[in-house]
Amino acid sequence: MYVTGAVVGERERSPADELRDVFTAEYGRLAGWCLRVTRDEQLSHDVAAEAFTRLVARWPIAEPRPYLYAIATNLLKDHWRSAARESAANARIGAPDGWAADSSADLTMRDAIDRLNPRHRQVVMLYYLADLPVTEVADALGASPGSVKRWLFEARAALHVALREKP
Amino acid sequence: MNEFDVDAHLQAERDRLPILSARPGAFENMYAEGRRRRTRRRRIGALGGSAAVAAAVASVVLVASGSAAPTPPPANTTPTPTASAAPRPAPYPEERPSPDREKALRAALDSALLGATDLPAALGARWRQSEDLLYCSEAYLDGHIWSKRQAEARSWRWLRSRDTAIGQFLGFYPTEEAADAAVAGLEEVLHECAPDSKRTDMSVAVAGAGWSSIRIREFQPLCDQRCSRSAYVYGRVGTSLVLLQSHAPEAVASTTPGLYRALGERVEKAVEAAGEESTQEPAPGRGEPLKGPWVRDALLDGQQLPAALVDEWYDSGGGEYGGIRCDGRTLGPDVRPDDLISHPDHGVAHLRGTELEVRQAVHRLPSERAAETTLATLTAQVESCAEGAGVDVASVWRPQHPAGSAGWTHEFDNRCGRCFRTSTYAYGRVGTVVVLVKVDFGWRGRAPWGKSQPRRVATDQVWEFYRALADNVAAHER
Repeated sequence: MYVTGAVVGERERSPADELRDVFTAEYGRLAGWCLRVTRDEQLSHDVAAEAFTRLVARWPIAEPRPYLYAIATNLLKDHWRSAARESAANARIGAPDGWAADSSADLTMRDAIDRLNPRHRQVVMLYYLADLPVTEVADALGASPGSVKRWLFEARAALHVALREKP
Repeated sequence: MNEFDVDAHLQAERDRLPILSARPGAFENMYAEGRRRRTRRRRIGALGGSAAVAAAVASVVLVASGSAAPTPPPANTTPTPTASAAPRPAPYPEERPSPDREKALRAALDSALLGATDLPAALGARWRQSEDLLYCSEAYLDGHIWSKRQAEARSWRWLRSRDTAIGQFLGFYPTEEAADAAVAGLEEVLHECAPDSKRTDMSVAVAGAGWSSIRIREFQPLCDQRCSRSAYVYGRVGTSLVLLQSHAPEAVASTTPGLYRALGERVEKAVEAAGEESTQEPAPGRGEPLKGPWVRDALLDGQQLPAALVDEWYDSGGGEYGGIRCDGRTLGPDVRPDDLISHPDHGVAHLRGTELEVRQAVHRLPSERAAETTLATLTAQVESCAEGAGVDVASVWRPQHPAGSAGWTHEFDNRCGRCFRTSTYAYGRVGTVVVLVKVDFGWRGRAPWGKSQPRRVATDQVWEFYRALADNVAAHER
């Protein structure tokens, strides 16, 4: 998809050219994916920008797309951890929790995904929403493909139960 | 699951994913930052591989050693501005210094940098000089602090041993305000780099330059710049910015403030040798011994000391025990030991009991800053004395009291090899007058009069001696 170090006509494409292609193709989707996870546009831009910055620092990378999502996933893990701490702190002082999943009766697929446990949510986000193959999801999460398949099966089952049983 | 197709709903969810537009200039910013990180990684790799460096660096707990209590800034000194309070841009002159001056300063700073032989043996052996290597501070050092417009001269050096790396950075600025701004800017950058890093504020006495308020920032969690598990120690000495960066095992923990002090003192001397005053105020000159009949009144005599200490005090009148030994050389670099003869008119008294000795000194300096410098010198040398003797010294900063002076007490827990006794120093200043009390307890081995067990006086009580003496001086100063 992306040409790395290739000769185009008589001119070898520079790393900047290659990276700009990746940026043009992927930034908007990656940031949107982050927005779906975080519901915070500012944070989504920050995560996507950091992922691209690391890509630049590591360039050339044969498969930049899985790399970007893996980095974003790790960054969001950190974010989720801090959000959990924030949520716990809010609970202690009785403040509203901005990160809790929507508890309204009108349960959507989006809400159902949010209610999955972290591992299941990650595989759903990477496999279904980021459209990465199982092997690359496994690489991103540092797990075996078999584990990813099992988590996907469990996640689908959980989503099925949640959405089928909605009022 | 037939009645509800999860896969289809997930596909639909993917189709609904938003596509965000990049911020203006986003790619250019990311590209520049990514290239900068790439360059840094390559430098680290040249040092021995990023993994090797990450494994080699170890945490540095940069707090005052067990023998030296955390040191708040002394009274009447201006603390280093914080990042939020510090003005930026720095108030530096637009004019560049002459090339000759910049060259001289650069050479002076180069000569001030610590070499392998200057580092404590405890840190490790086989030091070697490394290539220039800057971590988190790189951007700021390159882009701001070392801006040629701001800093007249700069110098840095990296020393590496097998498992330790110590970086030194020096910059000379036209004014103290510019150097303060540089310190504040560095603090800002380090905070941005690792907001969760631990920061410790303390003061270090730098002989000849007074107190240096330093910041110690420890990077413990892994930072994506791989500069984690390092510590930055930085502050201002005169118009110079002094920065130490340590990637070191715990052996560095207790020595880094000492390294900072050593580096600061060398900077101060080097800058002075380069032919430029490093401070805006006149350098402290030679002090004037206090003379006059009131001095005798001010100095504590046997009647004013608690009778419980000893039953009979007498003035030694000079001679072998007349001077102040360890500290006799420390009342300012320009004060000769001869000035501290044991004569009340000269502001020094020596009272000796059967088991205790009390020395007192009052000495006027040309300015309050000179007095502060003298106190700093005294602190540095007392601690150096203890370090050289291999004994522990418990240092306590005492708050300001009504006489207008804050001060120190230093208690040698063990007997100093030079003084052969257990001693407690208490000192501070009243205006421009340095006030010192030193109490010695017992002797090592067999005392001249056959007593072998030291008689201890509580440090708080020694401090009360100081307060009484300072109050007397303050009364006369008024």
